[in-house]
Amino acid sequence: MSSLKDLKNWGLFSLTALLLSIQALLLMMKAVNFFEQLPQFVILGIGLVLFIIGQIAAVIIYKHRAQTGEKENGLRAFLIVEAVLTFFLLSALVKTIFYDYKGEMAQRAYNILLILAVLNKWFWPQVRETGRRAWVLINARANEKILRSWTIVIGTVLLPLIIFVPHFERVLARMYIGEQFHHYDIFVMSSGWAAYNHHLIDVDQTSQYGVGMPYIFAELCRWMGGFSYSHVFLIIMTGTMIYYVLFFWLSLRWFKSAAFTLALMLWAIRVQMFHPGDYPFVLTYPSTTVIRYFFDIFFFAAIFCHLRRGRPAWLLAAAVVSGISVFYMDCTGVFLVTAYYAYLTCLLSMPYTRSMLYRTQRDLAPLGGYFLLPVAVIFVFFYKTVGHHMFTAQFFQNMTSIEEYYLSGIWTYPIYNNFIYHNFWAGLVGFIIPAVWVFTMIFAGGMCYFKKFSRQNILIIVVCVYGLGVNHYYVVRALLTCYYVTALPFIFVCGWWLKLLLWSWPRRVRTNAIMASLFISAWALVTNHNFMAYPNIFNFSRNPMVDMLTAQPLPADLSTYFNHLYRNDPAALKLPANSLGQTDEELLTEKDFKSDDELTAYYRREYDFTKDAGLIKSLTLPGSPVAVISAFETKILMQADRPPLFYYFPLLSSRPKHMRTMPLNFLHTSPGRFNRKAIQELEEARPEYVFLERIFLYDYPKAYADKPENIIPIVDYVRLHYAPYKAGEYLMAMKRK
Amino acid sequence: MMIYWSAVLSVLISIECVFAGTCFSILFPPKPSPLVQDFFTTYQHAITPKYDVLFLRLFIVAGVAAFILLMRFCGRMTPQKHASFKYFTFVQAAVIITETFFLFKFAVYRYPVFLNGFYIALMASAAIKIFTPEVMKSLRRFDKRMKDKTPFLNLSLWLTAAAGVLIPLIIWVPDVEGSVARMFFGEQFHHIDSILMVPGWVHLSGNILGIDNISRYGVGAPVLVAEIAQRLLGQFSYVHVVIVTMAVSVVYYWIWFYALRLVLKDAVWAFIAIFLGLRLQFFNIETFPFIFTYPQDTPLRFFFDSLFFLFLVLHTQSGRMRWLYLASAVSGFFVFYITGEGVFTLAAFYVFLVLREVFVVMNPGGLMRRVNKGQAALLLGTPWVVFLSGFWMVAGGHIFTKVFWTNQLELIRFYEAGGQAALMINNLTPPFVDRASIAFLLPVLYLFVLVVLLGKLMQKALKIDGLLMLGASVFLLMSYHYHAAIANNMPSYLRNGVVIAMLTVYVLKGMTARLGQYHQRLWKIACGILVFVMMVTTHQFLLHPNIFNLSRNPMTHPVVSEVPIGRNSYFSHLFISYPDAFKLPVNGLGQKDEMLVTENDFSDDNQMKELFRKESDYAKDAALIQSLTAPETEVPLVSSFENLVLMQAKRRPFFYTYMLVNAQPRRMRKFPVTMLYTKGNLQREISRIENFKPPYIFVEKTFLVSPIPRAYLYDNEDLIALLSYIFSHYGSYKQGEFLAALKRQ
Repeated sequence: MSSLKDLKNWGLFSLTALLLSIQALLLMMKAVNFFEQLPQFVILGIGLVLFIIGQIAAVIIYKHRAQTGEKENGLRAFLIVEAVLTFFLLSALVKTIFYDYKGEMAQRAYNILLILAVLNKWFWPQVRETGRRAWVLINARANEKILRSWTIVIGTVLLPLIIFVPHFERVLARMYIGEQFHHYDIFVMSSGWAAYNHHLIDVDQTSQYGVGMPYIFAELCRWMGGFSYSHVFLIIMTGTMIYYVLFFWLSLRWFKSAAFTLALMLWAIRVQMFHPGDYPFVLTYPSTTVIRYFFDIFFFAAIFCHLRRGRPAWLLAAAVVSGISVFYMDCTGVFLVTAYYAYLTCLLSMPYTRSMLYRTQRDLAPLGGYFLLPVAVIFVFFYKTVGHHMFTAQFFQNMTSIEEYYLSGIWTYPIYNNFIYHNFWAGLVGFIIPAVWVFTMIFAGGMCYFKKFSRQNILIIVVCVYGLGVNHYYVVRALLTCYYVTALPFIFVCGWWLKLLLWSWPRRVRTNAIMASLFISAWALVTNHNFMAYPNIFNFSRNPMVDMLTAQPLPADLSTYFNHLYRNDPAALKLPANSLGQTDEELLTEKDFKSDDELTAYYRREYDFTKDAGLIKSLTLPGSPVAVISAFETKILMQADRPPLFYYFPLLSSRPKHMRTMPLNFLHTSPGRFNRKAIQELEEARPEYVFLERIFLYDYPKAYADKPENIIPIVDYVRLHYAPYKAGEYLMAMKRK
Repeated sequence: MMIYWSAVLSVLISIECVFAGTCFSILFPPKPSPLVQDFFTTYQHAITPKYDVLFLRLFIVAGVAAFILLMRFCGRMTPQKHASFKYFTFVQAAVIITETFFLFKFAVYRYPVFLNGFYIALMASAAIKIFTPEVMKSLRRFDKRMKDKTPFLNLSLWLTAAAGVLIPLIIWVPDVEGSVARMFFGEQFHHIDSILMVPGWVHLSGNILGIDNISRYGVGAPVLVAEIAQRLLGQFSYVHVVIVTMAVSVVYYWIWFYALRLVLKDAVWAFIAIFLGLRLQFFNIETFPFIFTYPQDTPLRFFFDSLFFLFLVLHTQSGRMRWLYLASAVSGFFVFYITGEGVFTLAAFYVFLVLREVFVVMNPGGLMRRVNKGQAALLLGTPWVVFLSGFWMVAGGHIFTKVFWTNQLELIRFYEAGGQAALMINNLTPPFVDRASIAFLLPVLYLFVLVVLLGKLMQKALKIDGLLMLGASVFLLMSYHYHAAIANNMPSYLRNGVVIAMLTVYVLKGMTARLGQYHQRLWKIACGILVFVMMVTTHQFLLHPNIFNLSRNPMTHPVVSEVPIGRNSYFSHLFISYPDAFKLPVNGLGQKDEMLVTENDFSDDNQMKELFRKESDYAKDAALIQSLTAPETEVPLVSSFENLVLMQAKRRPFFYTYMLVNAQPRRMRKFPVTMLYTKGNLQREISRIENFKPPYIFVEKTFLVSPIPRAYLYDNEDLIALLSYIFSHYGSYKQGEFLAALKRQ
């Protein structure tokens, strides 16, 4: 026995010695930076020799300690702390090398960690004592309640704090100069402005993201005092904060352990909000935020309550929420309805839960009601918003046109796409996620059916069904890590498995594991570049938009983010002057701004179309739809307080205001259909004025004829039937001949 | 537990349903949607009709349906049948892993060979399901056999025989001329010239290596190879040198297998270790397109480490001192053979001697005894005597001159100064992260093994095999210096693959030693399968033109390929992307066409070999040299393929830096680069011309073309300086096909 124990002790000591040697090597690497003229061979030779000397020294110390009776537990604690420090050091070092184009933060962390590594050895007795006290505090049963309460408070405060952006106008400024509000316009601004003016969605104007969402945003903005980018941003940000807090609370009820739930939440927020696809930050792309599927949290809360208490009211609530969800955004809502029906099927198919829905024949009517309620809710809401149009085929064709567009194969990628580009890990996770869902669904279903698990676990089956549904988003367009957009059900399911595993362990081991997972989640979150760049209160920079300490370069070529989409437009596409009559395109980068305030001032100045709005107001009546063919048409119409005329709105994809290129169409559908539709609308409505961006008055270069997204047919139509009448700053009012 | 197993099996079944669907989608690709008709032609590239959504739904439905059916089936199952159910799940998992593996490789690399593998796996899966009872019966029988306590009597013999046969079959390349031709078109003999052909010809022509001409890797290896090729095979040529390299490689692995059998004391583990070593050393990514293109990566370079370890094993197991003396002699000879490897081995040997003494002191009464002073002196001195003798046999009295040793250390100093080296950490960038990470991990693991074994040694718990592993870990740490110095983004740390494999298997064997015989056997099977899969599915193995190669024309039309990054082909890859702006108006023949061939220019390997024979023939130029120079004279030649020319002309090389220029295809419209590297080297060559004043200097006709791009004045500074000197002292005299003879003015 004693030899075995010796061996174990020796193993621990060998590991500790190894870690210390690595640290010594890292310290030495730091030191030789001062002697850069030494050849690498010599440096590495010295390193290896030091490494080996360190080991031999460790052997001698071990012999000494073995003789003096060093305790194994002390060694283990030291080993753990040193292992953590070494891991952090190596992690920082790797980041410094891997991201050498922005390794400053990692370099700082590395320096601090080196100091900590030295201090730890110096003050090890104190560190050990502090650690021991903390350990006792965490593990004492008496402290369980108070610690839980504090963890809940921390979670409830921390999650919104992570998401909250204090200076949101700076963010809007970056969105403007970075990608000209493409994603905001297409997600909600354009359709929302139409809804704000009481236009009918998918009848008068298109919406790529559901019928209900633009109405909801429009109404919320009305309460807030007007429809603007700032208000919409606030709604999205606040909605995200509310969602995560609700997700935290629901998970807390489910998992019971506050620390475990907080670890899970940090992991969830890390993968959902800070994955690589969220560059430069998640709120630039509202379609990738939880706003896309905001109502699912209420649905799952209702299902959870129904499973716990069995009251029909909760089931009715779930049915109503799933119906509203389809109205809100059909592409995600439909999967919530699927999950709802899966839930009903589960309840009916499992002998011991059937009574929750059906006992006697008298329950047939309510049962039918449960099945029909979501559909009824969908129809009620559609009728309420679009009226009799909902009985026309055209409305449903319009509503599903974007799905049809994607399912035709345009801009889609095969599911093995990541493998082709050797993104093996990203590709593998894309396969693992649905496999985990299917396996969990089957396993949990089997266990619940045979009463091995309590009926509450049916919730996991429903989550899996929903997860598989929303995973279609990735399957259709398998691009990098975009499965993380809808990863929250996956995190929840992983939490369920982890709980199964952890709660089969002894309490003390479990507590250690939970603390470790909390630690790892926090580390994974805070060392993530997207997190470090996120302009919340934790950001290290005072100018997170323009300061390259935290702001990230463009991942594709490490150039700057500002104006990145059009910077490399070929000269063949350039016209003699831009819409303002200037030749300078003013393609500014982050380096052109000294501070975020300067950027914000620039944004306020540039994103102002007062003169053009005045022109529109002077020539059109309030409430009359206005035909604007221009970049930034949504913003111009909002300032002019006029609704749009064209069905495809925004009609054009905005590019920087000073560009000497023509804006192209927004690709709502195939280019042929797009141009035909717009011309047909001009033919039918015959508006007296059409407001054309002034750049369209130039003769376009031949290169545009080769670009399928060009709107030359529409411009030609306008120039044929309309003549210049009055010039604004950016627009020209064209009067019908 | 049946629910768990049923869930696992149903997911596996549903994955296979998706695979069947994938098969269907490959055979019947999805038709484009009618909406696509509305798109302009330029948009067609963005349209990818696919079945992925359908497959996702198939995956879900098949999984649920399979689970429901399985649960019904399990309900009627007797508990005895549950074991069969688990077996079936394992078999299904193995099948899925195989299918996934092939599909993954196909998705990434797009070679039909992987798709064919996928089809075969799919068919095998169908067959397994049709013959499930028979498969289960065989599995049960196999399982019973595995649990049988009686040993597998002849397994050891069979495995030894198998290793003896498989090693040469895997290594040997039947079409040697074809592989030489590929070296010629692929990289113009750069590596084989550098390590073997050039110094080999220097030795055979009568010059002295290290005095008259440089030898970049060591003196012994080229001398031995040249002598073997000349005396045993009858001719010193590229083909014969490759044959010698292959033969040495076979013998190397045979010796290692014998050593592994002795040290691991188990034929199965030895079998696994030798093929793991073969995989690591022979078929790692650095050996593209095949290892014999780079003799410095082959066992020819490391040959004596096999003998070194064999003698150490024999010594530790018998205690006889003669084996230790032999190990000492071998480590000395290794220094003469390849200087760098020899020095690492010698250092490891000295450390081993110290460790051995500690071991003997800690474990008295064993087979090994402490060495006395006389023995110690002999052990320490033998290596020096051996390698000095080797050098003396080649260089005679020159070994007592300073210049000989300065020359020997020349390249080491060059590498020490950072020549052709990169920072290790710089490799930690895509796409080399995994390779670079392993480069950092390996020394840590070696050191960890070293520390653990040292600890055991101090606790007197180290067994005699452990002492050898201690020596092996020291050896690996010494040998790792090579990677630390070069630190290219290639896995050169795998060059001691067999030693790494020995250490790995030793650790594995130790870890599984506490298990029962049944589980040990399972581990061995699993490891064996893993090594087999790792070996036969790697690109380098599929490319190796041995008898297992799946292509009839493995040189020109391999089943897989890896075109170097940024190049269009492997053939002529070093020159095919050279910008036209930096080219001469015509080549040495006055032509514009450079005739840079790619693999696709050949219908089969024979066509390539025919062109090789034609292109490597310098008969006219050799005749020109012979007509102007006497036999046995040193001929100054500045040209690509200078060694090929001088071998055909049967003349000795003149320049110390021989080969002077890095060969390029002979019709290129550019200047080749030299291998002079330093100003001192350039001065040395000019001084030689000054001192010996050769009446003729032969230069590649390309150098006579003008005007030259201005960039050459910077990029080819050394060559331009040398040529300027030559042209100022020599005038045009006579022209051959590719060479021009210049006469001293």
